[in-house]
Amino acid sequence: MNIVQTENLTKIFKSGRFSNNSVKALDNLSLNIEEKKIFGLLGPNGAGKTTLVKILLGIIYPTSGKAEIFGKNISNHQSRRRVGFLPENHRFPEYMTGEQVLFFYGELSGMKHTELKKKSDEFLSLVDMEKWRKTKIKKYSKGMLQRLGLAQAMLNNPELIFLDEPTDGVDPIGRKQIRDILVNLNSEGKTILVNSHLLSEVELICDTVAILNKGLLVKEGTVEDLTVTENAYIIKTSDLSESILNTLLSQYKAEISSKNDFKYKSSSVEDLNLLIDYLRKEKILINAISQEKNSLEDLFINVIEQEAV
Amino acid sequence: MIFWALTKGTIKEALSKKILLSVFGLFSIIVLIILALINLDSVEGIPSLMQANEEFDYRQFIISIELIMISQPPFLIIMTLFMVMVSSFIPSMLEKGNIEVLLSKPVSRTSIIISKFLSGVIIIFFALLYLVLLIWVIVSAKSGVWHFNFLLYSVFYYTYIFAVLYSAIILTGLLFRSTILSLIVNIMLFFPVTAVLSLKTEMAQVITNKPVMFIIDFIYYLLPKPWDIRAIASSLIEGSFTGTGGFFYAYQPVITSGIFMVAMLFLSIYFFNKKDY
Ligand SMILES: Nc1ncnc2c1ncn2[C@@H]1O[C@H](COP(=O)(O)OP(=O)(O)OP(=O)(O)O)[C@@H](O)[C@H]1O
Ligand SMILES: [Mg+2]
Repeated sequence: MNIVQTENLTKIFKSGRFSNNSVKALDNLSLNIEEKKIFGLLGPNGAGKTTLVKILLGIIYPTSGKAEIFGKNISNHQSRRRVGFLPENHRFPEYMTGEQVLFFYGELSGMKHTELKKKSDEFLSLVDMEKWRKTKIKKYSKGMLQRLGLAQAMLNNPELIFLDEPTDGVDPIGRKQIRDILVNLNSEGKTILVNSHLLSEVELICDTVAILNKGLLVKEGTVEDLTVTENAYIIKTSDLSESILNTLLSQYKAEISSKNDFKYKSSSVEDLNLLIDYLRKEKILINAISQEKNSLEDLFINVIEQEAV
Repeated sequence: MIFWALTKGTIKEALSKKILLSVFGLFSIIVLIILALINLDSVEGIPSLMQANEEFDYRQFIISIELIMISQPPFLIIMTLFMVMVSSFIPSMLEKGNIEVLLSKPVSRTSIIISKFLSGVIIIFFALLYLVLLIWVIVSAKSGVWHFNFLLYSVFYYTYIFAVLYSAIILTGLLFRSTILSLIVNIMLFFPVTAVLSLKTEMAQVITNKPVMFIIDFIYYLLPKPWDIRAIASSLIEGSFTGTGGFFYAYQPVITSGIFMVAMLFLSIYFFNKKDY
């Protein structure tokens, strides 16, 4: 089932009432997010990621097109009861303590007092912030604010969580903790949408990603599908002699990566097997054959560079 | 439930920003000064001295003291103070990074505005009640004249005037997103402009040009009338309110200011509901 659905969503920002300068932040975007998935929304700065999230939450209004969450039109504010949100560069009221922030926003999500007490204890310790609960947040560091923001986003037990750069400013250990928290939430059946520039992280946790560029959806698919480059194999062997290496280079156009490893691009599985036959005939031991994977970063850079051309 | 959480949040904001506490502190000082004045030996003697004089209307004397307390200068100071207190509510709510979280909650934008309005009015009502009730009790206990109308009308009408002015502060806060700018516009525009306009009858005797007078009339009816409402409260307290010309004529400033307030709130709600954040 799709928990988020957009259809030809377009957002045009007009700068100034009388000027013709306008920015198309989203351009006919049709996107579905499946239930119980971690969905990564990628794209260069200004691609429209934050704009999409804000539209889905009713913070800004689309110029045209349709969007639904939980099958309800986004204009219905009641559907936001089951949603959590961590905005980018959030600024909670500075005079509050960490605990007060959770209480205030929890109540606004419709939580009861007893439930709030229990949940705020639970989530403050989950994000490692229980020591700071009574401290005014104007004394928090950036990463501490981010951890508190994450606790705030999870507090009301939401089915759908929007996180705009959740690990921004968080130290490496904290980032790992946050990843674990997200994977854990996902295993409890929550759907999570993450905007992030840290592609190695996205690759670690996301099931599906979409790449936006200038408001357009340029690529979408599972991380698995997007990162596998078909027909390129990494073959690990033992003891390649000089002559075999030469044959591999000249006949098979292999790319030797180290003494006993090489990459082979074949046009078909048959070709790959012919190579294996050859190696076996020469009594070469094959240790491993694996399909080559691109990193998400390679893919991202490729896609965005192609767009620029 | 959620609506109440919002309202409570605004009251807590006022408390934690120390503005509310400093206003209560200031009011306490005023009350203490009045208390000290009343206990002066020279003042002590006055009641007996005056009661001895058969001709002297002692009750009227106390009422005239009360009227001084709600006269124009203290009115101007107290209203300005109140405007300062609440002027940051909307701009601080609209701060980038803050408004996004608020709007992502299951609350309608309309109820956010209404709750901001109500919480401001509630805060000011209690601040006024604190000040006026204490003064009233002190003056009444000292003089033996329990003039309930003073308490009733001054708290009610001052809160009402504040509510009218606050509705404009909300709209300008939404439009400018700046506390200072919103405050300057409201204080500069309202107090001098409405004070001058309240002298409309006097102006009519001097200005003979019909179109000019029509424009002045028009602006007068359009804008809120804090000074005129204060005058109504004052004459109600004094007991000199005649209500000549019928209800609508006598209470015209109250009614037209109420219309202004509702219009400001409608505009605020309309604008807030349309805007991207
Ligand atoms: N309130 C606004 N008014 C005018 N233009 C805006 C507004 N918000 C966003 N934009 C424009 O819309 C485009 C998309 O912005 P958006 O914030 O969605 O990008 P993003 O993908 O989140 O970028 P980043 O990775 O830097 O966070 C940008 O060109 C931006 O300038
Ligand atoms: Mg962004």
